[in-house]
Amino acid sequence: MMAMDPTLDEQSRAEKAALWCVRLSEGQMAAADRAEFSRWLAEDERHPAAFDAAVASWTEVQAAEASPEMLPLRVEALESLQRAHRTRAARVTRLSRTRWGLAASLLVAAVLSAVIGYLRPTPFTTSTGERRTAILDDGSVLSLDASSEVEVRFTADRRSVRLVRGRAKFQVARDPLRPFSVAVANRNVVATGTAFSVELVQKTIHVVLYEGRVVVTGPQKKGVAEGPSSTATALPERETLVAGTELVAAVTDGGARVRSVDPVRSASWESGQLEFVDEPLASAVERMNRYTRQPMSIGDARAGTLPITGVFRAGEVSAFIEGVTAAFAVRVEQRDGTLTFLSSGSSTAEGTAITR
Amino acid sequence: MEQPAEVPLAELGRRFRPALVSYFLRRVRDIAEAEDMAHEVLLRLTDIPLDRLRFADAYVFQVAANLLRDRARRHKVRSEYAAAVAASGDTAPELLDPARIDAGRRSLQALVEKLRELDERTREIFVLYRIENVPKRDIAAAYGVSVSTVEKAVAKATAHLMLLREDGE
Repeated sequence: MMAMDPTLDEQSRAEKAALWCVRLSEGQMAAADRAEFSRWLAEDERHPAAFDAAVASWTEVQAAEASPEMLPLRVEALESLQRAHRTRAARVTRLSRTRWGLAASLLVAAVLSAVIGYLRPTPFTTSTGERRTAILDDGSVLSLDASSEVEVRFTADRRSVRLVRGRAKFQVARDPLRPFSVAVANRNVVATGTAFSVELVQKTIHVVLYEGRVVVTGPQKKGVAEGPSSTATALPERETLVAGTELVAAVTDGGARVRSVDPVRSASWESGQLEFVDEPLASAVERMNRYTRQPMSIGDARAGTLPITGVFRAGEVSAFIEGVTAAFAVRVEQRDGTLTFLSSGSSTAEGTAITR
Repeated sequence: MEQPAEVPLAELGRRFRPALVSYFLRRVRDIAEAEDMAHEVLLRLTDIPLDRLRFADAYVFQVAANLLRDRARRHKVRSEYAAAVAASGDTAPELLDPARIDAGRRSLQALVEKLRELDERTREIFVLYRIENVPKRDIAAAYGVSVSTVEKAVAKATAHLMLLREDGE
């Protein structure tokens, strides 16, 4: 390398300018340093410009300080300092190790929250009586029942959705490299290109497959504190659904069963109709409640289990009540602002309510 | 966290002193006075909680400008001040200008990439000194190098970041 190399010259000028930044950042300079700084600024017209540029870069770092991009560098540096401390602990005991150790752990926490921030899911919610269809970033179509909520989180290698409450149907865009999965309570529904719905009602998971194929994975088998006898037999590790079937699984005991459904009828909620086949009244009521500001409730356990079969228009509470009370020995009372179903003491009725 | 801690003067200096001195230097043309004024600004900043100060670059600039105006009045040297400002011209961008800092934010990714180009130790020393505000003596002791080596590493990294400005603008 030649001394006259202009880039080398420029490099050393920049470093000298930066060194003045370091000196200045330390506090008041000694008189000798001030004199030298003055001399340096005056001796070459390029020096003040270099100094300004150095200050600008110095200040620019400030803006980057708290950014997520910068955090990995900060963690690396602090961890490196910790390592250096450990190896030299005997020689540098006067340094407060805990202080920088704390700084490092705080930063690790900051990095985590930054990453979580990046992965923050996009929520889709509907309020009472509102249905909503959305096209997701990958082209998949999300259809959301009333009073429902999902969180969508897409990354480079996976498409994750979580059903928080209610019911959602997915027409999944085909992308074998990015599996599409829906988490609901303690289960996961994994699909590649297909149409299915996931619902959470009365602490029971319903997965209806309309086309294609999905795999429903069961809960992690960690600790069988409750119901130790049921877990071994009732729970398949994973259940593969074929079109026209529905998986029903209780969140609590982990048992799952698969039954066949009519795909057209079971998707009728998308057009504002609720169809029930031997549905416990409690589940039917919860689904009807998604559409009404005048909620219904179940007054006693027996009323909750009455098997409801019928087609009801979403939001038409009075027709629903009329149908149910006509078919079963059950009455409705106004209690705490809700319409409460109460079974009559002598009820043994089995029946069907059909209303349009 | 309990009460917001006061920012130690040393940390404030690490952050703002070079920019403040540069700012005053263009207006008072004397290093001793520029340093004094920078010090005065820093003293006024010490009672601001740290979490607010992180985003207070524009405020720092405001304090500096006010101080300059006060001093100009006090010394009845308004014309001199005006002359100094005029002499400095608008050729040099205002280094604490919020718009400028914002532009810096946009090139954040480039800045991090530039830092990644440095060798590991230089980068670590720079980050520890410039961002984590670890005293240079502590860094030197931890890595078993001289204080001057730490300063040079920080300067080298800063100079490397200066290349960004040439590339980009």
